[in-house]
Parts: sequence; structure tokens; C-alpha cells
Amino acid sequence: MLEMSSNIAIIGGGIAGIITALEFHDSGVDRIVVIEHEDSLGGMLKYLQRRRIKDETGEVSARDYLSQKLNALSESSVIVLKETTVVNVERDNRVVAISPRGVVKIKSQKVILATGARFMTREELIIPGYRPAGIFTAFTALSLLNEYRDNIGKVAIIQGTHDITLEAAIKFLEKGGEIKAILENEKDVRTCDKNLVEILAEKGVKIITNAKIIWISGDKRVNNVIYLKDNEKEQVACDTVIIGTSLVPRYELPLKLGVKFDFEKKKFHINGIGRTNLDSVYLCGHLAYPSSSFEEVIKMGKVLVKHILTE
Amino acid sequence: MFSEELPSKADVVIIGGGVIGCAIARALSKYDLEIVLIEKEPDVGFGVSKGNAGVIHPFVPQMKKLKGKMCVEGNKRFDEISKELDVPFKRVGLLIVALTFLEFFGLIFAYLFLKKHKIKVQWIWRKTLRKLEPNITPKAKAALFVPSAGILDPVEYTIALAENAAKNGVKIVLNTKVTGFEVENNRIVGVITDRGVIRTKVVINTAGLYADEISRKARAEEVVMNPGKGAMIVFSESIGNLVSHIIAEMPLRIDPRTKGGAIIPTINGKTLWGPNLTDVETKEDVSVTQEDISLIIEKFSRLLKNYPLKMINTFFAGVRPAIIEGDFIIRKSKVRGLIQVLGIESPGLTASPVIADKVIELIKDEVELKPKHNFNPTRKGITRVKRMKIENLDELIKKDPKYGRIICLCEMVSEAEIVEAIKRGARTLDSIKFRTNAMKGDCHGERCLPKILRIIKRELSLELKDITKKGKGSEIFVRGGCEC
Repeated sequence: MLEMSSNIAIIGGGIAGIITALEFHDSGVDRIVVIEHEDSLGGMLKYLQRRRIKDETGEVSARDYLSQKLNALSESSVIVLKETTVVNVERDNRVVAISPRGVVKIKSQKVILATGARFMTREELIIPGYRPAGIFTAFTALSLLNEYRDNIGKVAIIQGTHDITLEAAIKFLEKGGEIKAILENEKDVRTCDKNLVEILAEKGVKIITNAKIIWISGDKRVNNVIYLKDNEKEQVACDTVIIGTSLVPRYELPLKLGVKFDFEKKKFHINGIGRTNLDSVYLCGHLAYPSSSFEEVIKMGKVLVKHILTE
Repeated sequence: MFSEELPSKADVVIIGGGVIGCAIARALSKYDLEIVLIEKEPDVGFGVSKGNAGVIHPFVPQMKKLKGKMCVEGNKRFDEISKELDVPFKRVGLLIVALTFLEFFGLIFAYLFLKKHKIKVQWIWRKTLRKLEPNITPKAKAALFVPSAGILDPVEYTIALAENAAKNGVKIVLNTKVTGFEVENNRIVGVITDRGVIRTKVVINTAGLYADEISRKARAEEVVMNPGKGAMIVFSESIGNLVSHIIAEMPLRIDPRTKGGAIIPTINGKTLWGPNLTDVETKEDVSVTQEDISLIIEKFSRLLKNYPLKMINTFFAGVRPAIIEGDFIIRKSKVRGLIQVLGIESPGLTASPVIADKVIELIKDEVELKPKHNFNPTRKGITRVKRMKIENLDELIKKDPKYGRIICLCEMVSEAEIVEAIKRGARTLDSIKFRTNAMKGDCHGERCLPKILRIIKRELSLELKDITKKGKGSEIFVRGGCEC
């Protein structure tokens, strides 16, 4: 068992975790540890290929933005533990994690939870019907499409207009797939990057607002879906359903620690900045603000660090 | 664990690898016999068994029927079986709750009924009830506590039975469909499958929902199915213990086809509501409708004070393989050599060990039962990181670093567990899910599905297009992408 201690332990190496680590470092804090479950940092951002990120220094692609930050991080004294999964935080902020190298315990002054968010599932959205193969959240769809040559289906219907959802849609088209429609339950499109909407429009894919899938059929693989638009039912033959409406926090670990959570709204009880009901435990990024844009996540990460430093 | 080759002869062929087929296979493996179990799906437990709520029932209202007797007997066996098979099992107990005076009168009858049938039961008054179940509705007036009710994971149990049977020599052949029988002088002598013929002395029909088709193919008795669908909602593990006992409302009218469902704390830490009962047109209808969901929520939410409805983990449905007779039928067919095991709906899971014993009794006249001296009743489950103490974990990871690489975050499933599941015969994503609980968390494998695909691909040298969710036709990828 490896035991260490730190001033700041950041759980989650997505963009929120990276930004807070860099902010602490640039403010002169030492002994910062970032604990990342995957074998590389970047979280959701590393899957985006078209999305552009704006911050005070200008606008760059999400990829370039991420590699800039990763470079900065590797030149800093921040310790990054990859393939390391936090299983608990014990008394006195003792973070317990496991990795292929064994169990790690990190006693930390402060713990920043940045475990990110995930898409709401078909079950959480209560879309009734059958449970065949071919139903993906936008994130799963995008990561499979990025990793492999083959496509995840031939004909898709998509629910939701998140950045990631639209990136997945574009990738699905590029691999020779056909998109019957992109449905948005609200009256407005959700993405912050209108460029993605334009690319899809050029490819002849339309976004139908105020529309929602209400039935999924199929025995082994998706066979067809029914969606509702203006009280009219429309049946569409397809083999793939991609669901990317809104994000919910990855609440498992914070709940285990006892961070207060609103089960109705699926949001944590935090003050405006990210302080929780637990001493020295803070929340940041999409975990704290699941409906924020990447730009807002970056901004809020910086604000949280300033706040903690002035405490 | 599974056999690749279809054997050409056997003493006993079991048709159907559900919980009943597997329980019979394991029980028969105590004897010196050549046993073959045929399953049409790519894994055991993929039919009726996976659509089950996982309750080891203490009783059913129909105590005079075969299913009533077998339920009570079966219930007693699970302490031993669960230990032998290393399957987590917990006697959480059942609370039958009265919300109205009418229901309270119902409880009195239920109490007398249970006493008469020698089922351990205890009155629980309002105050104690609140202590036992702090989340119960204040409307609850009283309850009956039946301590013998238990919970387990029905698919985990089915897999454990199959693994133990295989260890004791049973050949389990998957992806194989029975197409007919060879019959000589009104006696079955062979089973014809889409992969070849097996000559055999005895055939056991445990085909569940498709027992009628098997019976027809054998030119045996006509079996009339009366299938009923049951939908269930599962709530997230993250809400903690919504209840700690199985909670059911005292029914005022006994429906012969259902006990009415309950709020069930599952063995995996989640909470299940249901099942309900709806008629179906086809046996394949495992859809869950908006109406199912609304009715289940309406029916069970009134039993509780707090119920975070937004924290749904999943919903699913199973089809009960009931027959028109409304009871279990376990008997020899008029076609010699065929043993019929029909209508095994709930409490079939509970009765499974007793059903297996009954089949052994029937089989005695057909083949010689010579006990095997080397029968091993024990089976070890996959070592689960989630169920381990952190102190022991460090040592385990030092031995195999794959235990330290967590693949499924929600359920804390390591790479080692997934590799072990594949070693034990998992070939589909659902098979891995049922063996390890990976992808069973609230995100349903959003992050870990790609990683699990990578592990399957590596371990089995499979092509991507050949990996399925639950067998042929449920592929994850289609062929023919561009070079991007």
C-alpha cells in the first residue's frame, strides 16, 4: 500500500480537474495530486474533434486547448496518478484509491471532486419499449466512433442537441450512416457551438425541436422508434438510437462521501462556488454544474480556486 | 465451462438452460450419467430467468397446489445451496403491510393461513414497524413479518448452477436449437438439433416459454401456455436503502396469476418495484410501456414516505411461462423417455431445488442412478472488488494487477473480473453484465462499454462486428465504415 499526503487532491482529470490543478499551481500551491480513472487525462474534452473553445486568450479547437493545458500540466509539479480509481474518502480527507500498482492512500488538506457528468440514460428519460442492442448515449457513440473504423449502425435517430451529441451525429454520417432526424425535446437547440448545427444542415440533417422519442422497438437490435411532435406520432425505421439530451453529475462517489444531493433535480447542494456540506471537500466542473458549457466549467474552476485560496 | 462440440450420445438430454434446467443438471450430476444440456441462446439464464425479481418466497397463496408445496420446501434449501455455490443470499424477510382497516382484517386471515401452513410469522405493530422500516408510510397500521423470505440474483444463481454442473461433467451446449426428435416405438431415442443429433435415453423438457413447442415436436401432450408479462422498475443503489425488507401491501383479492409484486431490496444494493401483470400477445413481448411504469409507481409509491422517482436505474420485463392449468406440472410424458417440466413460473426460482429432486425421482425408472464418488457440490464465484475489504485488495492487486484496473466505475468492476467472466464462457456483453455487474450501474456502461469491447476483442481474438449484446442479430457494430 502506497501512502502519501498532499495539499490538494483533485479527483477526476477532466477539464475541470486540469484547470483547477493548474490554477492552484500557478498560485504557488505545491503538492497537488490529480487522480484520474482513465489511462489519459482530458475527460469528455478529449473526444471532441470539431468543437472550439473560447477563453480570454482567444478561440482554439477543443483538442488544441486540451493539449496546451496538458503541456502546462506536465511542465508543472502537479502529480498525476492515471488508471487510479478512488473508492472512498475516509475520515480526515484520506483518499483511498486503487490502481494496477496497488492501493494508494492520500491524506490531503483539501479534496476537490471533479468526477464530471454523464448523459441521462434512456431509462432515466423513461423512454418505454424494448431493450435491444443499438441504443447508445451520445458519449458512448462518439467514443466508439472515434476509436474504431466501423460504424455503430446504418440508420440512426438522435435525441438531444448537446455538443457531444452533434459531434457523434457528424461522425456517424462520415462513416456512411444515415440520420433520419435529430430530435430536441425543448424548443431551442442546446449546443453552444452553432458551427456544429451548420455542418449538419449542410449534410441535409434537420433538427426537429419539441420532439421526443416515446417508444423503442426491436428484439435483438433496434428496429424502429416512435417519436412525438406536436401530438403527432411518427414511426421511423432505424437500427440505432443515440441519446444525448442533458448531463447528470457522476454522483456515485460524492454521495458515498455524504455530499448533500437533490434527488429530484439531480444536483448537489453547493454554495455558488462549489463548497459542500463537508469540511474541505469541494465540487467543481460538470459534477457541480452539469448543464454548463465547457467555457463555463473552465471559468468556474478558476473562480473556485481563488475562493479556496482566500479562505 | 461450455462445450463447443455437440456430443453424439447421452443418457439424459436437458432442453433449456434456464434456472430449472440448470438446477436439474446440477442435481443429476451427482450420478454417474452422461448429461447434455442444450440451450438455444448464447448463455444460460437468458430467457425467463433473467426477467425475475430474485425473491426466494416463503409461501404462495396456493398452498395446496404443487407450486405451494415446492415453494415452502425450496425456501428451506437456500442457506445451504447459496453457500455451496458461493452466491450471495440474504433472508431479509417479508413485511405484509396493511394500510386500511380492510387490509388489516386481511392480515388476520393471512396470519391464520400462515400459522396453519406452519410458516413462521409474527405480528408487527405500528411503532415497531416504523423502527424496522423508517421509510414506511405513516398510513401503515400493522404488518405481518415472515422472516424466511430471501433475495438473491437469479441469473447469478443460474450461472452458478450451470458452472457447478459443468464441473461435475455435464456438457452444456449453447446456441443450439432443438428441431425435432427421433422416436421409436413411442420412445424418444434421439434429439435432433440444428447442429446434429444426440442419441439419448431420457429427455427433460425445461424449455420454459417454449415447452409447448418442444412437446409438440415430440408428439407428446398438448401444452397450452398462458404467458403473463411482468414489468419491474429498479432504483439506483445511490439512494441507499429505501427499504430493508421485502414490502408488500396486503392484497384484498387473491389473483391466481400473481402475488401482486413488492418493494424488494435487491442483493446488489438496488431497490426493485414490481412486477405487475399484463397479458401478452407473443412470448417475445418483453417491452415495458408507459402504462406499466405509471401503474407500478402508483401502486408502490404509496407504501413509502420518500421515493426518489428520478433515480431510476432501469426497467425491464419478463414473461411468465405459465400454463393454462395454473400450476407446475412435473411428470412423465405419454411419450416414453420424456419428462415434462411445465408451467414453472413464480415461485419457480424458489422451488428449483425441489423440482430437480422430483425429476430425479421420475428418472429413476428410466436410467440407473449410481452416485458419483467424486461429486463436488461447491463452486467459487468470481472474486468481486466491490465486495472486498481494502486491506485484502492490495494483496490481490499485487498478485494480479488487473484487479486494480477498474473498468466499470459505477459498480467497481475490475479488468480481472471481466477477463475471468470471459474465461468462464461469457461471449456477449449481457453475459459479462450478468457475471460481473459491469454496465449495471446508473449510466449503463457509458464509459466502460468501449473498454469491455476492447477486452473481449483481445481475450477472444474476435472481430468487432462479431461482438454482440445478446447473440446473433444484436451486434454493436456494422461492417463498412470509411477509413476515417
